[in-house]
Amino acid sequence: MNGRPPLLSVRNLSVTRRNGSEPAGRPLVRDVFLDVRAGTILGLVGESGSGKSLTALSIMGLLPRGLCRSSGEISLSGRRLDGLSGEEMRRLRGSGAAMVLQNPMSCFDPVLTMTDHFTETVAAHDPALARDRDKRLGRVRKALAEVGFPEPDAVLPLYPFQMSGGMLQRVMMALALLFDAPLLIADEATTDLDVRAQARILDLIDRIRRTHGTGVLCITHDLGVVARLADEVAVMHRGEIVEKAPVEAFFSAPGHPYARALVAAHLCLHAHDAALERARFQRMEAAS
Amino acid sequence: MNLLELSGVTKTYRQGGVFGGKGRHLVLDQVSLGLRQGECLGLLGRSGSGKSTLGRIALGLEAPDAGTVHFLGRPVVARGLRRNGFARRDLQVVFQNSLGSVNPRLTAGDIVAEPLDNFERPSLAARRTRVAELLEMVGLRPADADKYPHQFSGGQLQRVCIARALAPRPKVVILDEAVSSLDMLVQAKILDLLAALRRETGASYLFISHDVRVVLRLCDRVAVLHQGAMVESPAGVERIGDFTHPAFLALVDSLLPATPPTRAA
Amino acid sequence: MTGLAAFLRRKTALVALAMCLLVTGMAVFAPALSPADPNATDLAIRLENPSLRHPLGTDHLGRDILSRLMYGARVSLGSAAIIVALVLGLSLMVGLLAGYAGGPVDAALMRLCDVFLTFPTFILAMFMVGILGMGLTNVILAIVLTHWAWYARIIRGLTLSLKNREYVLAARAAGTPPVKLAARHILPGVFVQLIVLATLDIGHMMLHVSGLSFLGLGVRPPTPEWGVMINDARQYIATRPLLILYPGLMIFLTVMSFNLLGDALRDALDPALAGQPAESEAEAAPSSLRPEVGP
Repeated sequence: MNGRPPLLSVRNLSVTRRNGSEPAGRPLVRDVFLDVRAGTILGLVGESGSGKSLTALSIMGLLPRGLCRSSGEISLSGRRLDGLSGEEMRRLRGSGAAMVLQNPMSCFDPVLTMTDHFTETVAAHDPALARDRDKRLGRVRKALAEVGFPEPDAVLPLYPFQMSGGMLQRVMMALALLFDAPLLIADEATTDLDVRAQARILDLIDRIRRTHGTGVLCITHDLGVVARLADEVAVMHRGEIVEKAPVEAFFSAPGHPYARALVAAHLCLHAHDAALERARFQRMEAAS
Repeated sequence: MNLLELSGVTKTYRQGGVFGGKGRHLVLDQVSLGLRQGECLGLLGRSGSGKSTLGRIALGLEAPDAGTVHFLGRPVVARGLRRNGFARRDLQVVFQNSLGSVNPRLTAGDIVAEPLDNFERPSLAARRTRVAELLEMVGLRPADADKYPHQFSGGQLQRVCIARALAPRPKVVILDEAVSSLDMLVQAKILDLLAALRRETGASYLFISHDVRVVLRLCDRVAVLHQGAMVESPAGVERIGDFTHPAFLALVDSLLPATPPTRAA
Repeated sequence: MTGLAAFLRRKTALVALAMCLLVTGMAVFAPALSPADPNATDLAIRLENPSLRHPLGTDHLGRDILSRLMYGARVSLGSAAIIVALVLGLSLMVGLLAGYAGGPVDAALMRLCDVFLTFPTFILAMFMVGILGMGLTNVILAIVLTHWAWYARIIRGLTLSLKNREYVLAARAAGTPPVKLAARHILPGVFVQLIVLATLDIGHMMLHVSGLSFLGLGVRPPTPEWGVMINDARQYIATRPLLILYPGLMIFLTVMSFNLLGDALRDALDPALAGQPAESEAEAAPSSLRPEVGP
């Protein structure tokens, strides 16, 4: 694409089950090699069990107990991540790299309001800002407005159960925007959402990419999301990357048999697209 | 005559506790629907639109507040837990979550044979043969009859559920988001399987889903449930371009593209 | 069964299990194991220190303490076991019926439970003993009457939650009649949770039996029972503190072991109850099933 070094660079990443403190058994993720450039979106595609979520968790240092990263060099903005301590990784999460997950309801504490969540996040990364109430609220309002809440003050006092999945996802993205994280990892962020909410979130991700120059690692099993958003595509199958290509090339001429099967199944569902376009067109004609 | 006929079905859910409902949520408003012999009817709607409620009412698992349900000309009555013998046999269901629709303590063979045990009471040998037959029909092996649900993958377990639904040779199968939890490749295979089975057995399907494209791929005719009201497509799926009702187009508008559109940098 | 493996791997579980088995064994094999007749009094050797013939010494009537402890286990643990069995049986019937039938049947049965839940155990026991006379049977009856309702409510709750699960709906759609539905699809789910609760409660029941016996309402003398032994030893607490320590310690250890066993059972069985494999899943994926290998 361009000559700049990638924002996120992952080389030879492997994840295995952990026995005590030693890796044991076959790797669940093997030799993953991927780049995310600033201002672009990499779509990481694969079916459940392929290891794509594990890859993301490994990058963020959030692997569950029982799993460990057995090898890999990870660099974010030129800084090596794989050697960092737990505390340093914690500081990085939210400010250097932000994550948006599949089930938004589970990411929020059910007894805290949105205000509390924002306060907590700010306090974790910028204690000085946390103390300055006006400044902090100003930033929070700005972030909420950017993700599509024209009246941020209406949202702040709400509890998670009072909000829809789509709304919660947008708040997650506002939390990510608070500290202008250069990398955003979206792991099946729209899978559990309604089609309309999904469209909004995808538009939002695209907009953030354009306005903030954020690099996005978008993990999904839905090729429609990839078609809509991605600049580059990487396909994972059974823990390995089997295909990597720019998005147009991926859809027009996939190489690996697995990638071909995916694209074929995807296009098979779109046989009626022309007819649907006609229906929409007719409606627009009738309306005008 | 329609195999399955819903007429004026209305259902309200009350929110709030015993002391005065906060609000009444009208889920289904005078809904009418007819499923013809040999067809696959797609029932579309956004999540929360009441499609699953309609499915349960059609099955007789829930009673509507108003309206009637007729199956093969006879009324289907949901009265507590009384079973309506004949209706059950010819009217089966496949749910979305395969792991949740099976008793985790039973083997696949027992799961598939449950309708057989209830309706036909076959001998042990006949039962085993029929279970093997059914498992092969859905693309599994007869040896899988001794496996437990947690030993199957999502797609395989859904095949078991489909085999169970087809065991009593039903005339109608209601599929409630049956492929929505499956990965794309698995979904494609299951859709192919469903289409093939329909041809083989002559059963009719009521296919409930929120996914427009999946419905268009499998079904002959489409109906949309929008804010409690039902809208049917004027013609079949092959003339879907003529279905311009706003309820349908609202679903179409949010669809993702097939291939990358030309993009601004 | 992965649950069993997980259970056996935890040290506290093994120790608790060993202790429970020990006490149970002691109760069952008391006639064979005890060094002497627990009721044989001999005032000449009263309040003796531990010796070879009487490993824990003798009580104020010259009876061998170790033998009394062993036979006492029969009464204390035995009655607790009977109580748990009766409570489970009664509460299962009521709870399943209430949860399953719903509507007016459910409401009526729950009001019945409410009535029984208001009775405090000790007061009811004293009331019954006053009317029906002293004795272990009446004590057991009183404890059963005050505890069954609590279990019935729990079982009803479990039944309600299982009744609307998809696999029960699927079984109904497959034509399964109500009784078979309850037996095959609902009861197994309820039962596993119940075993855990019952194990945790055996200690509780035992304390009730011992407490009531301590108050003089339970067993008739000279039947050995740990609560009675504590009562007997009260007057000698200054001169022979060990007399009160032995039965007290037995109660403490037994109750604690059953509690730990119950805890361990619950932890071991929980993942299996939820329908997921016990080992941690590799992918944080929506389904908990194995990844696709084939079609």
